[in-house]
Amino acid sequence: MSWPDWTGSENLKAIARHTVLCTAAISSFMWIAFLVRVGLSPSLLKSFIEALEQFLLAVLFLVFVFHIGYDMWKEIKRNVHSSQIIFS
Amino acid sequence: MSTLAKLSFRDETKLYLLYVAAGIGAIPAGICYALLVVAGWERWWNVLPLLALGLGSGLFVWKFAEKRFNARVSTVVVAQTYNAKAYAFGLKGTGAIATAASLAMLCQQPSNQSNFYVEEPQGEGLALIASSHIG
Repeated sequence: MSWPDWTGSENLKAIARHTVLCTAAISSFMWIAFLVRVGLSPSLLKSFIEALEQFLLAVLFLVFVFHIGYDMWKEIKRNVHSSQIIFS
Repeated sequence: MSTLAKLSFRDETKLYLLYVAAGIGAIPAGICYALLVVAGWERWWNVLPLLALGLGSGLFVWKFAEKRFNARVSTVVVAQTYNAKAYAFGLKGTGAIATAASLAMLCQQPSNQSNFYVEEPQGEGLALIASSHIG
């Protein structure tokens, strides 16, 4: 496995795409949580919403890491497969 | 907006919606976690299984939503193809392009099959047989 297999333009593009869109999704959830927190003033519900928000952000981050790894793995597998076809 | 830009925008929107769907899928586990936090039982042996559950349900919802999106896109493409109107082999009307594509596939001899035996001249004979069934 050579270095360009990991840092090819397709991989970097996929990482950038996932980063931007996962950040957008996280921002959407943070914005909704902020609105709900502002709307609900009691402190118990506030801490409930905060904990829920933290949990969702952690899960979205894990989903992001999973898909980045999955996309890169697929791309590398394709690169290796095509190079095997070329050199065979 | 060009077709390429439209497709790219659709792809980006789809990925964003998939992330949002994964987040929504993790809400039940998140509610359990929030209840634990409010009750003061936040320990790592409670949090880790809930995190795994949230990740699992998020990925499940991701897969489900991805399948739904793909099914919807392919349905639209097939419907557009079959509703296209054009002249092909003298036929005009709904499904003419699809008919032409089907006829072309029928008339084409597979290049890797040497034992494909046809008595008649290949293109015309098969096209006549096919068009008589359609007409």
